[in-house]
Amino acid sequence: MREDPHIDDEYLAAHLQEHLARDHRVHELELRLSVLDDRIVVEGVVPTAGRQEAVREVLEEACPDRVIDDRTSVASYDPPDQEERIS
Amino acid sequence: MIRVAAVGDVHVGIDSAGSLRPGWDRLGDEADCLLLAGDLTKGGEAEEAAVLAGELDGLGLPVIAVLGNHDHHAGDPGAVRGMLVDAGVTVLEGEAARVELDGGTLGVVGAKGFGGGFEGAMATEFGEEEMKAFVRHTRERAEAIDRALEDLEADVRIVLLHYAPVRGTLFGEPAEIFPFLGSYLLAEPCDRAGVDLIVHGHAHRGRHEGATAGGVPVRNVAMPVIERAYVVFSFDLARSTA
Repeated sequence: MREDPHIDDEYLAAHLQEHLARDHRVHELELRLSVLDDRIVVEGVVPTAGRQEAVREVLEEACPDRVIDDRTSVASYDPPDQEERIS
Repeated sequence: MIRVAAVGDVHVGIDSAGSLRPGWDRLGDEADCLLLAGDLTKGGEAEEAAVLAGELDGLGLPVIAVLGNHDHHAGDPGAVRGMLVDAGVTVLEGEAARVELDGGTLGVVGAKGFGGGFEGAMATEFGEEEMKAFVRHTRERAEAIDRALEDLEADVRIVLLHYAPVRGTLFGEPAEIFPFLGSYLLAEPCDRAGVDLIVHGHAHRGRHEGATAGGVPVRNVAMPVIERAYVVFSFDLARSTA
């Protein structure tokens, strides 16, 4: 996949999504991926800074010739400032 | 007054040690019980569940959980469940738990649930064995919820799921994947029983608030949705029985 210059970007985005789901360093299913020319854009929320770094690693390993545009953020662990009354 | 805290999709890995606990430190003062709505671990490894057990240690309130699809990934959800049970967490799968609190009795029916979709865009138990098994898995989870609710008497009754019971809390996700995010089958027994609240996770890009066809409030508490360490729901029994 890495060495095929004619690879379809749409298939590439799908394969990368599969990588991020199955790779034990990441296991994230809800990240959004898009391939824009030489860039791989990844967006979404990850639980830790370590997981964010792992996302970049996995994508860089899979696509060494592309720029990884990491737009992910790390989840907030702040407590809430209000409660919701249900009844 | 009963106050229930909830969060889902914490996806705890070895790298999560120490990250959750600071946000949970006030839980014992702010809530009577904590519900964990599945995807407790990154990949369903017992070592990951042990990290979560450490984060939960000494919180000072009952913790009730269901497992999610991530907790099944390593093929041994029993190991995740066992690690959490050993830490004092009540882990439900088609079962009910009752908690006697100062403010009244809280009843929780918990199940992972599964997919299949919603009216107008849903899978049915027809065709290939794989498709039938997919829908059957959800139907069996829904039937277990129905049975557990039949016998559950409590001042406040909550159904705790991982998968979504309505499409209303999925908006924001691509509509094409709704059938992998939940099923109407999970809402039906909740409406029949008239529960007070349904809590679920799984849909990171969904929205927080929804309701069943029968008007039961549904809340998606996936951590990326609530953008907090947890949310708190309150039930004023004096007001609701007045």
